[in-house]
Amino acid sequence: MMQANLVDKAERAARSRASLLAIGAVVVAVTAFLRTTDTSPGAEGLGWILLMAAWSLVLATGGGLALNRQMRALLNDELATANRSRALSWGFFAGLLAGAIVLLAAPHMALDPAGAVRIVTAAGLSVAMARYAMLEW
Amino acid sequence: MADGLVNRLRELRGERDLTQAALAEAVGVSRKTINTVENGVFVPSTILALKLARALGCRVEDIFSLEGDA
Repeated sequence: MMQANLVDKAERAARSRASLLAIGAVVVAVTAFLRTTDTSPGAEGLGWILLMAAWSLVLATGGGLALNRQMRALLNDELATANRSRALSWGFFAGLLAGAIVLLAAPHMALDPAGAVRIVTAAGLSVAMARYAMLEW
Repeated sequence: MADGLVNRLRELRGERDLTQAALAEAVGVSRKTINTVENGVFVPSTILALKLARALGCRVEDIFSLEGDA
Protein backbone atom coordinates (compact mmCIF):
# COMPACT_ATOMS: atom_id res chain seq x y z
CA MET A 1 0.00 0.00 0.00
CA MET A 2 1.26 3.45 -0.87
CA GLN A 3 1.78 6.26 1.59
CA ALA A 4 -1.51 8.02 2.27
CA ASN A 5 -0.57 11.37 0.81
CA LEU A 6 1.34 10.12 -2.20
CA VAL A 7 -1.73 10.51 -4.43
CA ASP A 8 -2.13 14.12 -3.27
CA LYS A 9 1.56 14.83 -3.85
CA ALA A 10 1.34 13.32 -7.33
CA GLU A 11 -1.69 15.48 -8.08
CA ARG A 12 0.18 18.62 -7.07
CA ALA A 13 3.21 17.53 -9.10
CA ALA A 14 0.98 16.90 -12.14
CA ARG A 15 -0.46 20.42 -11.80
CA SER A 16 3.04 21.86 -11.54
CA ARG A 17 4.06 19.93 -14.65
CA ALA A 18 1.02 21.22 -16.53
CA SER A 19 1.88 24.79 -15.52
CA LEU A 20 5.50 24.30 -16.54
CA LEU A 21 4.50 22.93 -19.93
CA ALA A 22 2.05 25.79 -20.52
CA ILE A 23 4.79 28.31 -19.76
CA GLY A 24 7.23 26.33 -21.91
CA ALA A 25 4.79 26.37 -24.83
CA VAL A 26 4.64 30.17 -24.66
CA VAL A 27 8.44 30.44 -24.36
CA VAL A 28 8.97 28.20 -27.42
CA ALA A 29 6.37 30.06 -29.50
CA VAL A 30 7.63 33.53 -28.53
CA THR A 31 11.28 32.57 -29.05
CA ALA A 32 10.49 31.20 -32.52
CA PHE A 33 8.54 34.35 -33.40
CA LEU A 34 11.31 36.68 -32.23
CA ARG A 35 13.99 34.74 -34.12
CA THR A 36 12.10 34.11 -37.35
CA THR A 37 14.35 36.46 -39.27
CA ASP A 38 17.51 35.31 -37.50
CA THR A 39 19.72 33.71 -40.15
CA SER A 40 22.76 32.95 -38.02
CA PRO A 41 23.41 29.19 -38.31
CA GLY A 42 26.01 28.92 -35.53
CA ALA A 43 25.44 29.35 -31.82
CA GLU A 44 21.86 30.59 -32.23
CA GLY A 45 20.91 27.56 -34.27
CA LEU A 46 22.45 25.25 -31.70
CA GLY A 47 20.61 27.10 -28.94
CA TRP A 48 17.33 26.47 -30.72
CA ILE A 49 18.10 22.79 -31.14
CA LEU A 50 18.95 22.49 -27.43
CA LEU A 51 15.74 24.30 -26.48
CA MET A 52 13.70 21.92 -28.65
CA ALA A 53 15.56 18.89 -27.29
CA ALA A 54 15.06 19.91 -23.66
CA TRP A 55 11.30 20.49 -23.99
CA SER A 56 10.89 17.39 -26.15
CA LEU A 57 12.52 15.37 -23.40
CA VAL A 58 10.13 16.77 -20.79
CA LEU A 59 7.18 16.06 -23.09
CA ALA A 60 8.31 12.55 -24.02
CA THR A 61 9.19 11.36 -20.52
CA GLY A 62 6.64 13.30 -18.51
CA GLY A 63 9.47 14.88 -16.55
CA GLY A 64 10.01 14.28 -12.85
CA LEU A 65 13.13 12.24 -13.49
CA ALA A 66 14.44 13.18 -10.04
CA LEU A 67 11.31 11.87 -8.31
CA ASN A 68 11.05 8.40 -6.82
CA ARG A 69 9.65 5.47 -8.81
CA GLN A 70 6.21 5.39 -7.17
CA MET A 71 5.67 9.09 -7.73
CA ARG A 72 6.77 8.84 -11.35
CA ALA A 73 4.41 5.91 -11.87
CA LEU A 74 1.50 7.99 -10.54
CA LEU A 75 2.54 11.02 -12.59
CA ASN A 76 2.72 8.92 -15.73
CA ASP A 77 -0.22 6.61 -15.20
CA GLU A 78 -2.33 5.46 -18.13
CA LEU A 79 -4.47 8.60 -18.25
CA ALA A 80 -1.33 10.78 -18.41
CA THR A 81 0.12 8.50 -21.10
CA ALA A 82 -3.10 8.67 -23.12
CA ASN A 83 -3.17 12.46 -22.74
CA ARG A 84 0.43 12.63 -23.91
CA SER A 85 -0.40 10.58 -27.02
CA ARG A 86 -3.29 12.89 -27.83
CA ALA A 87 -1.11 15.95 -27.28
CA LEU A 88 1.64 14.58 -29.52
CA SER A 89 -0.94 13.92 -32.21
CA TRP A 90 -2.08 17.56 -32.01
CA GLY A 91 1.55 18.68 -32.23
CA PHE A 92 2.15 16.52 -35.30
CA PHE A 93 -0.77 18.03 -37.17
CA ALA A 94 0.13 21.55 -36.01
CA GLY A 95 3.62 21.02 -37.45
CA LEU A 96 2.12 19.85 -40.76
CA LEU A 97 -0.23 22.83 -40.85
CA ALA A 98 2.60 25.25 -40.08
CA GLY A 99 4.68 23.65 -42.83
CA ALA A 100 1.85 24.11 -45.33
CA ILE A 101 1.38 27.74 -44.31
CA VAL A 102 5.13 28.44 -44.59
CA LEU A 103 5.17 26.80 -48.03
CA LEU A 104 2.28 28.93 -49.24
CA ALA A 105 3.63 32.12 -47.68
CA ALA A 106 7.26 31.63 -48.78
CA PRO A 107 6.95 33.37 -52.19
CA HIS A 108 5.37 36.42 -50.56
CA MET A 109 7.76 37.03 -47.69
CA ALA A 110 11.45 37.02 -46.95
CA LEU A 111 11.85 33.84 -44.94
CA ASP A 112 15.13 31.93 -44.83
CA PRO A 113 15.23 28.13 -44.31
CA ALA A 114 16.34 28.44 -40.67
CA GLY A 115 13.37 30.69 -39.92
CA ALA A 116 11.00 28.27 -41.63
CA VAL A 117 12.38 25.36 -39.61
CA ARG A 118 11.92 27.37 -36.40
CA ILE A 119 8.28 28.09 -37.24
CA VAL A 120 7.45 24.47 -38.09
CA THR A 121 9.24 22.94 -35.10
CA ALA A 122 7.91 25.58 -32.72
CA ALA A 123 4.35 25.03 -33.93
CA GLY A 124 4.60 21.27 -33.47
CA LEU A 125 6.23 21.40 -30.07
CA SER A 126 4.36 24.33 -28.53
CA VAL A 127 0.94 23.00 -29.59
CA ALA A 128 1.77 19.55 -28.18
CA MET A 129 2.97 21.11 -24.92
CA ALA A 130 -0.03 23.41 -24.61
CA ARG A 131 -2.48 20.59 -25.36
CA TYR A 132 -0.82 18.29 -22.82
CA ALA A 133 -0.97 21.07 -20.22
CA MET A 134 -4.68 21.57 -20.91
CA LEU A 135 -5.46 17.86 -20.68
CA GLU A 136 -3.47 17.43 -17.48
CA TRP A 137 -4.78 20.54 -15.72
CA MET B 1 -19.26 8.48 -21.77
CA ALA B 2 -17.72 6.20 -24.40
CA ASP B 3 -20.26 4.94 -26.91
CA GLY B 4 -22.20 2.01 -25.54
CA LEU B 5 -20.20 1.66 -22.32
CA VAL B 6 -21.94 1.88 -18.97
CA ASN B 7 -19.88 2.11 -15.81
CA ARG B 8 -20.93 1.87 -12.19
CA LEU B 9 -17.59 2.79 -10.65
CA ARG B 10 -18.86 5.81 -8.71
CA GLU B 11 -21.78 3.83 -7.33
CA LEU B 12 -19.68 0.82 -6.30
CA ARG B 13 -17.00 3.05 -4.76
CA GLY B 14 -19.69 4.90 -2.80
CA GLU B 15 -21.16 1.65 -1.50
CA ARG B 16 -17.75 0.81 -0.04
CA ASP B 17 -17.24 4.29 1.45
CA LEU B 18 -14.07 4.79 -0.54
CA THR B 19 -12.89 8.21 -1.66
CA GLN B 20 -11.49 8.69 -5.14
CA ALA B 21 -8.07 9.23 -3.58
CA ALA B 22 -8.29 5.98 -1.58
CA LEU B 23 -9.30 3.98 -4.64
CA ALA B 24 -6.60 5.68 -6.71
CA GLU B 25 -4.04 4.73 -4.08
CA ALA B 26 -5.27 1.14 -4.00
CA VAL B 27 -4.86 0.66 -7.74
CA GLY B 28 -1.79 2.87 -8.23
CA VAL B 29 -3.16 5.64 -10.41
CA SER B 30 -3.87 9.33 -9.94
CA ARG B 31 -7.13 10.60 -8.46
CA LYS B 32 -7.79 12.32 -11.77
CA THR B 33 -7.73 8.98 -13.54
CA ILE B 34 -10.45 7.62 -11.22
CA ASN B 35 -12.45 10.81 -11.73
CA THR B 36 -12.25 10.65 -15.52
CA VAL B 37 -13.18 6.95 -15.53
CA GLU B 38 -16.21 7.66 -13.33
CA ASN B 39 -17.29 10.48 -15.62
CA GLY B 40 -16.87 8.32 -18.71
CA VAL B 41 -14.22 10.64 -20.13
CA PHE B 42 -11.54 7.97 -20.04
CA VAL B 43 -11.96 4.26 -20.77
CA PRO B 44 -9.36 2.35 -18.75
CA SER B 45 -7.21 -0.50 -20.02
CA THR B 46 -8.10 -4.09 -19.21
CA ILE B 47 -5.31 -4.14 -16.63
CA LEU B 48 -6.69 -1.12 -14.79
CA ALA B 49 -10.23 -2.48 -15.05
CA LEU B 50 -9.07 -5.72 -13.41
CA LYS B 51 -7.25 -3.78 -10.68
CA LEU B 52 -10.37 -1.71 -10.01
CA ALA B 53 -12.46 -4.86 -9.78
CA ARG B 54 -9.98 -6.41 -7.37
CA ALA B 55 -9.88 -3.29 -5.20
CA LEU B 56 -13.68 -3.14 -5.07
CA GLY B 57 -14.05 -6.88 -4.53
CA CYS B 58 -16.25 -7.43 -7.56
CA ARG B 59 -16.06 -8.56 -11.17
CA VAL B 60 -15.08 -6.29 -14.04
CA GLU B 61 -18.55 -6.86 -15.54
CA ASP B 62 -20.07 -5.44 -12.34
CA ILE B 63 -18.25 -2.16 -13.01
CA PHE B 64 -18.38 -1.99 -16.79
CA SER B 65 -21.02 -3.26 -19.13
CA LEU B 66 -22.29 -2.65 -22.59
CA GLU B 67 -25.38 -0.54 -23.02
CA GLY B 68 -28.41 -2.74 -23.33
CA ASP B 69 -26.87 -5.66 -21.46
CA ALA B 70 -28.59 -6.76 -18.29
